[in-house]
Amino acid sequence: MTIAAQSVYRAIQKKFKDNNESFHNEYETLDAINEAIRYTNNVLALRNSDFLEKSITYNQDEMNAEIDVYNAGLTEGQTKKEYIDLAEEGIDLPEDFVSMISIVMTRENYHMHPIPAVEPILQETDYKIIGNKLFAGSDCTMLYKKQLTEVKNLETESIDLPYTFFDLLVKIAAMILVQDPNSDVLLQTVTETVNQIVPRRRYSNARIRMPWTV
Amino acid sequence: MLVTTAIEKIKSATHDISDEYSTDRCIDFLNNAIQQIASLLISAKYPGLLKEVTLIDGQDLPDNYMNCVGSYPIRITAGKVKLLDGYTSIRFRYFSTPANLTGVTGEKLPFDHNALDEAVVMVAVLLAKNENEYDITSDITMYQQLQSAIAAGMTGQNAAK
Repeated sequence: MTIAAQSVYRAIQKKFKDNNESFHNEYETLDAINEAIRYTNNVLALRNSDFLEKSITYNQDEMNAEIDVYNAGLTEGQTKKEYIDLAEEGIDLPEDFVSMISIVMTRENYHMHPIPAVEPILQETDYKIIGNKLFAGSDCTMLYKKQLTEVKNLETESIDLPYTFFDLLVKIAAMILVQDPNSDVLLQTVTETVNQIVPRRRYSNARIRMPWTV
Repeated sequence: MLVTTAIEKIKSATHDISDEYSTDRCIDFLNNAIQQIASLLISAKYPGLLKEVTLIDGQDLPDNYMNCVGSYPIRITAGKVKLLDGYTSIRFRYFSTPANLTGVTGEKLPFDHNALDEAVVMVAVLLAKNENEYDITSDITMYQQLQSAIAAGMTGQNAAK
């Protein structure tokens, strides 16, 4: 389900008939691909799409057990890691976190309730987000919108998008390489192309809940 | 083409029966012509003059460097390279003009291409004639046509802009 960065690079070279790498070098093409990823990120983040959805499970006991193992392996002078307390201290949100979609208690799949940031966590079902930290009353699984990671190495890395985005990335990166990057035409093209792709995918087979269903 | 052959051609084309142009002077004309033709080819991104080197921080630019392919994360100051964005080395592709001829025995013109060799000789002849205040107006017209032909022929496979 990912796109190899190298294949995007080669497609851009072919588009420019530049197999000799005499017009655009690898570094600026990498920058253009990353810019294309950022544009796609921006547009997708605003859409009702599932391409950027990701879930993470926080289990306090497991995380603290890992910290125990880590701390046991430390030598003198090295700083020990603090234990995690989901309710009191909270835990850092994932680095690629953009926005929350939903959060459930891991044990019962019960949807948790947000509480005002100023209030302490009192119930098992409470959660709140302050700054870059999540506070939760119990172990939980969070579904969130992530940010696409940029590519650092063209040869080994891949872009975390379905293959249907291949031509979009190639086209946008090629436009970035030859056109004025500040032009609005670019964002317009990205938006149009993403709009063409996104509605094709979103749960077309989902069961529609009837209005009288409880 | 051997440099000696090119010099003979220059002398013959300029009707140099009194041996007016010394060998060194002819080599100067050839060097000047090579730089002109090379610059023409580089402006058309001719891959034959493309070279590659691995740059490290603080390194001097390569000899006879003209320009590079696209833009690299480097900053050039007074011929020295500073790598940016945290790179420790960079695969650097660049265009450079050929080194000057020295006139040693058996030396060849640098392009290793018959049409380009003839173009170099033609430019050298124009330079020689010009120095002797010949009227080279019609020759220059022919040279301009040749320039267009070289640019189109050498870069026909590279449509990228």
